[in-house]
Amino acid sequence: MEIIVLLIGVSLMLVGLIVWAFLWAVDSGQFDDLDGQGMAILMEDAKED
Amino acid sequence: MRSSQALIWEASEASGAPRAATGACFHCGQPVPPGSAWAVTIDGSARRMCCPGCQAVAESICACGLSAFYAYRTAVGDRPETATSELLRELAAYDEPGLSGALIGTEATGARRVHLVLEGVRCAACAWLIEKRLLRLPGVTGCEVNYANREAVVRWDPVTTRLSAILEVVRHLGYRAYPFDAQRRQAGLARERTYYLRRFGVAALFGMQVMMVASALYFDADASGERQTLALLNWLNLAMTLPIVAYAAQPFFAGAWRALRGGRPGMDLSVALGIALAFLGSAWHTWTGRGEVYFDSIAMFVTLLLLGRYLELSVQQRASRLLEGVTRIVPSLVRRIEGSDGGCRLETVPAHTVRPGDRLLVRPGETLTHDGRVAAGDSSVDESVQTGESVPVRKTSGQHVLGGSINVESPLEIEVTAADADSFMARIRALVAEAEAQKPRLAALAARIASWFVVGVLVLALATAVYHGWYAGLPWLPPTVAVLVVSCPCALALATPVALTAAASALLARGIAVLRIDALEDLARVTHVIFDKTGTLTTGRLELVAVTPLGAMSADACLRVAASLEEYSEHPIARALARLIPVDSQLRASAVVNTPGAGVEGTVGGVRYALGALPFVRRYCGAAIDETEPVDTGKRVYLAAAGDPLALFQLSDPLRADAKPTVAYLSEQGIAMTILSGDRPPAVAAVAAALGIQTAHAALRPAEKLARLTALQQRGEVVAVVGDGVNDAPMLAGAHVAITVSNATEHAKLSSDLVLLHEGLAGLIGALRIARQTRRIVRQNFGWALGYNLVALPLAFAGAIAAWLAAFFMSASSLAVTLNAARLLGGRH
Repeated sequence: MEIIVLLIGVSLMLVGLIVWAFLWAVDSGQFDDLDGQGMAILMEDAKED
Repeated sequence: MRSSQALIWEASEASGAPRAATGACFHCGQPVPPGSAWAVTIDGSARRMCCPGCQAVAESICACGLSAFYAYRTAVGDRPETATSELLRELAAYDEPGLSGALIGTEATGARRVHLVLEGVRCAACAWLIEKRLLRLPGVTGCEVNYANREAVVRWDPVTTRLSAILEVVRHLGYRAYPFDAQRRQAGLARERTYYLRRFGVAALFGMQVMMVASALYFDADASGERQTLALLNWLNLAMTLPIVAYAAQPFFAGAWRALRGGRPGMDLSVALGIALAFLGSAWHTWTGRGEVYFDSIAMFVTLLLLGRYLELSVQQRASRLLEGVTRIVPSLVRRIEGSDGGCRLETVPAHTVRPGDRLLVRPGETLTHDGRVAAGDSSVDESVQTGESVPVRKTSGQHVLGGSINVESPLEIEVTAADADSFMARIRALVAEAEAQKPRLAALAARIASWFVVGVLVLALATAVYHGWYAGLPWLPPTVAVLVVSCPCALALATPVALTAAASALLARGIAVLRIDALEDLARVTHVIFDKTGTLTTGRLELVAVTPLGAMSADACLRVAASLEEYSEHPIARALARLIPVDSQLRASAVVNTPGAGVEGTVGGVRYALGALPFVRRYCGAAIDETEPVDTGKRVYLAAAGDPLALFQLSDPLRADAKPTVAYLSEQGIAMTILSGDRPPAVAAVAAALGIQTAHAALRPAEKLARLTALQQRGEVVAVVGDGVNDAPMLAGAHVAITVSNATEHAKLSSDLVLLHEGLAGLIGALRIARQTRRIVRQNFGWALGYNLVALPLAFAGAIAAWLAAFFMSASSLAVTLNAARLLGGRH
């Protein structure tokens, strides 16, 4: 069962990475304009037709 | 195979996206006047428009190849304002070099950069349209529009184009853009959102890890597992809960600290204590290797409460963004006359440098910046800032004029009589500030319950500790922590905010922006509503009610002549006449002579006509018109050619269509109503009679309106004021609940509590219904939370609740409260 120690260590590192990525996303404004960016994709596509 | 554009168009049709009902303008949704012929061919089908303005905007959009906008929009736009020479002058002021400093930045490449706040953006398609259009303007090197904030950043090459050209393009599309100081506005709102979002993310991510480990531990309820493994898992949980308590739970500890310093216990105190004691207790048990741990409860607490706060913040910010126009900087420049009669010249200077005794030139369409006396000129002036009535008043040499009023007809030379600090507008601002400071605040239900509940729980926790530890000699920490955890500050802390947030969201979907969320509770308790008249109960615009031909020409022909004569005038009467029909280029008027306050003469199609008030026209065509008694509640305008009366136009400021049903509903609910207006008594009496309102007072100044409001409040009434901010700003500031209509001034909207975003008063009915529904739900939530506590607390005191059971009860309770509040989002009320 000692494998659990290794697994815990790995998962902690992973969590740390994910939290860092989340904080980066918040700070760089990824969450600022969810509606507008979503619509922009749709509208760009149609225009190219 | 249909194009994706056609597919999306069909989908939006099926989903009920706004389409013009037959008889409604395709662009703005307003009714199309019968007999009008404006139309634009968009994507192959002819679409009707309600006015030349909408037609021009639609043509502009199609000409740029951006007609996909109509397929993607999810809301109709505003009716565009007509571009006037005053507007173009206002825009040109943005090019003044002195103004650029704070607003316009320069990049390394030499390009200029400006932050704009956008008005009139109703859906993501509008943002897309503005962005695409600006990118096509020669000289614009970059443009990003942020739909969520209603903001845009535009970069341009100063050699090729100017800022005023960019702003003009936005106006041609039917929107308004204003430069603003990016630092100030973004700082506050963005910071708050980021603060809560970061903490919520951390709490949720680490919380998931903690729950994962804790779930494993649930299977070991009888603690028969290997000691070492158990210890390891507990330490792991401790390590992962640390960021939650130290970082994510900061808002609660900060709030609790503030509550302690202020001496009033609040929800935050209970939550903070629960978290602190639960964490410290669990840490102690982990260290000693014995006893219950509550890491999962802490993770749940913090995550749920932060989510609640973030959603609350999000709804409130969305509501206030919809109002646009925050801190926009409109350059306030005036033309000062320098020198004496021999060698006069005009100098453009900032308004705040003007001193009493200076002479200013105010052109038609401009707003007066200072109080003064007319030195030269003959014009009429819109004094709605004082009376609320927008029909202009004649001003000639020697008469006083107020800062804030608008010069309508011809240029005036004004001698300034009051410095800025003593002016009329300054006095209004002072009144507003004073009214706000003394505004009575009703204590919120949550605040009242919170205080004694928190104290009660603390006392019980203390009693638990004392009983178990000292009296019964048993371990005291587990039951004490159980008491604090299970008492679910969660449900109580969520009971009100989550209901108010759901209500605000539901109201937003119905076109009512809630700026102060506590106002909903106050609105539910309202006993008296005060209405302003002009602009609130009435539309505030003069409209043509009837055309009576008096001679040989048909009504339609008379209307065309009148429109030609008034084509270039800004007078409300002119706008009412000219709005309905386009001016035929063959019928353009020439040799137009405008007599302010009386009428206008001109030559149309070779014939000389006069259009104006009875005395003016009678002078022109002889005494051939019947003298019927004057009608105070409307305006009569006559058209005549030499010797012959031709037509009588009757104009009035019509009551809003939804005013009567709204008043009827309020009266059914047992709410008393009063009209307080700055207009003349006959007009006010007529409106009161039409609506069935007993109490109405006329000819009131803003200060007098405030005084009457205060008198009502002192009698114990809970008063809501509905107004447009034009001459009722102090009254709005002092009301328990301030409600503004869609055509209110920007400043009034931003400082009110509720804004009716759709034209009209009908939103008031929905707002009152939802406010009362919210009050019921908040009471239910509290009832549930307290009932739950009454059952759970004795059990916790007796030490009968295991850690996991406490967490389960607590989350079930929070969920119940949240789901109950969510009822506000969906149903019919």
